[in-house]
Amino acid sequence: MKDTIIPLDIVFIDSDLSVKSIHKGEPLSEKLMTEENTSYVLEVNTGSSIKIGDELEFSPDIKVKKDKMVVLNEEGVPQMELEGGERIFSRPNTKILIKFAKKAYASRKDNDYKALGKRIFKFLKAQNDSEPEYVTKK
Amino acid sequence: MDKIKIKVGNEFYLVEVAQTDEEKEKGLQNRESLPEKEGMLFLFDDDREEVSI
Repeated sequence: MKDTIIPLDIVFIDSDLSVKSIHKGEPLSEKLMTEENTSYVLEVNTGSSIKIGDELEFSPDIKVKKDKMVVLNEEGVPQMELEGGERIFSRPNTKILIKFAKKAYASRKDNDYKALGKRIFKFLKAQNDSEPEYVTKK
Repeated sequence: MDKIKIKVGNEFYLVEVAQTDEEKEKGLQNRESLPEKEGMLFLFDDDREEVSI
């Protein structure tokens, strides 16, 4: 690592927020470490417990409680909770949107906000175009 | 630089965010040490970028 004296773990992370590899950064070494398909690199003190397959998560910590869904405003502040049966977005789609939202929160990039908006539109349209679903009690 | 809180696996880290080419080029150069659970997160475009550090 050029001009760097701190021994570091160099963690390469892909667009699914999954750790792909961890390289040991050598202080003052001119050697390059390269990975394809990288969306994030995290540098921390060497000796971290980070492993391949670990997931990168951003704060604020947004938890989806079991059997409840929390609807968030644009700042990630909970607005209301829904019991099972009503849905604005399905649980898998909620998880996807949270990922996109957290990414935009970290980067503040227009493209990331755009990607989030596009995804929301896609899900809303699918709901709009579908017949209403009725949940039968088990 | 502002720091954000992230979680990787089971650990929390407080990290600076390097976004511009300049910030990413500079990284953690010329620092004497890094506090225990701190670090730097480098952002790259989502176009399946090949990255060299």
